[in-house]
Amino acid sequence: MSPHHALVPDGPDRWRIERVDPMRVPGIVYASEALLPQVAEEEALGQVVNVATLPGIVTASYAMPDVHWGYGFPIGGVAATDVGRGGVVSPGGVGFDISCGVRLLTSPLDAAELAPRLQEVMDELDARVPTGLGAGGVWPLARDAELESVLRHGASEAVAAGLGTDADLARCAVGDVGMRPELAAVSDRARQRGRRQVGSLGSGNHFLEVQVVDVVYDEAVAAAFGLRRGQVCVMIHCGSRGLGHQVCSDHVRAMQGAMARHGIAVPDPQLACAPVESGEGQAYLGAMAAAANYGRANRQALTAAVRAAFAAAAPSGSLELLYDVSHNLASLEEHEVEGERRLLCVHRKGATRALPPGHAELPDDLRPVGQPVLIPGSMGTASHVLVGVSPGGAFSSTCHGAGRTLSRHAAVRRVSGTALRKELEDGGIAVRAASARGLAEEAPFAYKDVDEVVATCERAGLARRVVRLRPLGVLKG
Amino acid sequence: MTVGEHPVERGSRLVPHTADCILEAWGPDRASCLEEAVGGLVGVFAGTSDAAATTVLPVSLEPAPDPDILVALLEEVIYTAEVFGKVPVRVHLTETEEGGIAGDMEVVDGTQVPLIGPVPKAVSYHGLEFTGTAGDWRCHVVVDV
Repeated sequence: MSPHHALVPDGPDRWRIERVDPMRVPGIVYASEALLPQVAEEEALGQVVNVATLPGIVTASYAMPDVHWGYGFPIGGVAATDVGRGGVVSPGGVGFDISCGVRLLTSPLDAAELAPRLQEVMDELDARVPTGLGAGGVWPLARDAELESVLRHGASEAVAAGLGTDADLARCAVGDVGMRPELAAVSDRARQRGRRQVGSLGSGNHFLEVQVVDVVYDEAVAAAFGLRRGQVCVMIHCGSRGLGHQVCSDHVRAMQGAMARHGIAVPDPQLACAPVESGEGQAYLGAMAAAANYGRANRQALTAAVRAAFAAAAPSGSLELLYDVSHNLASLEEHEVEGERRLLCVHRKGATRALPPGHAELPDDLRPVGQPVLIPGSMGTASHVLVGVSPGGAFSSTCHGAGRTLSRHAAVRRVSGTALRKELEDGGIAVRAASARGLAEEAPFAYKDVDEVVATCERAGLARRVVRLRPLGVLKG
Repeated sequence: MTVGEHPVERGSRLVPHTADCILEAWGPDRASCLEEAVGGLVGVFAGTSDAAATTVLPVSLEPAPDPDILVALLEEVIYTAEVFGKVPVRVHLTETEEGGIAGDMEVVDGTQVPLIGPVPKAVSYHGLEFTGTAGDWRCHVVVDV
């Protein structure tokens, strides 16, 4: 570790990287002693420091307990810039997979009731959820106008097409505060990549899991979320597919060409940025909002496929949406900085917004308890539901998952896809996967211990644990 | 970041990166290094060694700084795979008089080759290098999967 990246204790499971030029703010890293050796990798902390140099950044460049090496921003990073004081927006601070996120569906079934039908459910999911190259999506869009409606209206458009209910929409409305989709900022190439992929899982770390609630940490909040021990749930983890990636690529390039005009220099080209209030900044935020709508419509279309699979293989009442979160997004939010309310552009790259009880943006029925925060573990390991707390930290943010410790390369060298599939199945987890190597790359040992990551978030005051979910079946793109 | 030493005249390899993959390629000239980079990128997700091409697609890249040409070419491969379901099995590239790159890609339908890993979705500028001198061109690029 370079001397510039030395971590100084700064509170419970919280460390500080002191500000030195050209940093504008210090770095704050959330990590337990157990996670510290993994968190303190040179590349990730160097990226925390680089982010701290962005124009208009306020308070600190934050790293969540699942932080790891990304490109430009670390994955697991949070940075807020002051819009009224030249603060910038950086597409790299959102990431390629705009609105990559998670939704959790709750079922009335207990695990014991599902057990005799699990293989059948997984076969139905495997047949109904497109994975792999050129497989298309659940909801093919024949005309440009249909795609434009998805970009404008997101999950609402999917529900209007019969792929969900109004009750679903009440649980996926939060996350793109203050931005209107700007379709003119979404390129033809992005549209081409998006047209046939609505309702598809994609590959990489994305997955769909049938899970069971195996630990309840907070009975009262769990009850308010409609969760109970032994209950079957379905977690969907995916994003905005090729469209979102293309939007990021297009606008990184546009900002690289504009930075000199704005008098901005960055230490890493993937941190390319422009003032929020500039033409480039507004264009990106409008395109990002459209891609975020696409991401939510994608998860909504997959929700319809999951419901159809359960209806065919284990009919037993409806699957209800608990919540939908995005963990790659920038959001215009008001926060208190140096004693005054200011409009900030909060980048969460591999970090999840976690609204506290009483927050005005929460649905009425969740406002008394706080926001459900969905934390997918690595494929085949535990996932968690947390709840936002007051006052929280890092502009009401928390972790987004386990966080990798091993490269995909190293994971494949340590286990074959076939061996991993057997290991998961021997552990009672039904596996369906598009590619053996894709499975091996996501091996659980390639990730941090998600239980320790969420416990760290709780000790650091970022969020509180509600339930833990254990996988029963994994569908891997 | 420095592109490592390589024992053969041209080739490619994957280097560990925590979240994504780093692709390195090398060759005796700019065009051959780009050809190797395409082969390396395809090798991330498809097994093409036994595949016979069914279609030839033209490649034409305008003059630009070397790293931008590399990014544009790899993005073209990703776009072709994702939108048209076509996977390159061979690539032939040459320099144009204006300083761009031209040639073609022999492609096969993606359903005709084994999918061996996640399909790359974007090319990052983080740590991007593509430089060379006479007889020795090298690139280093982080690819989002």
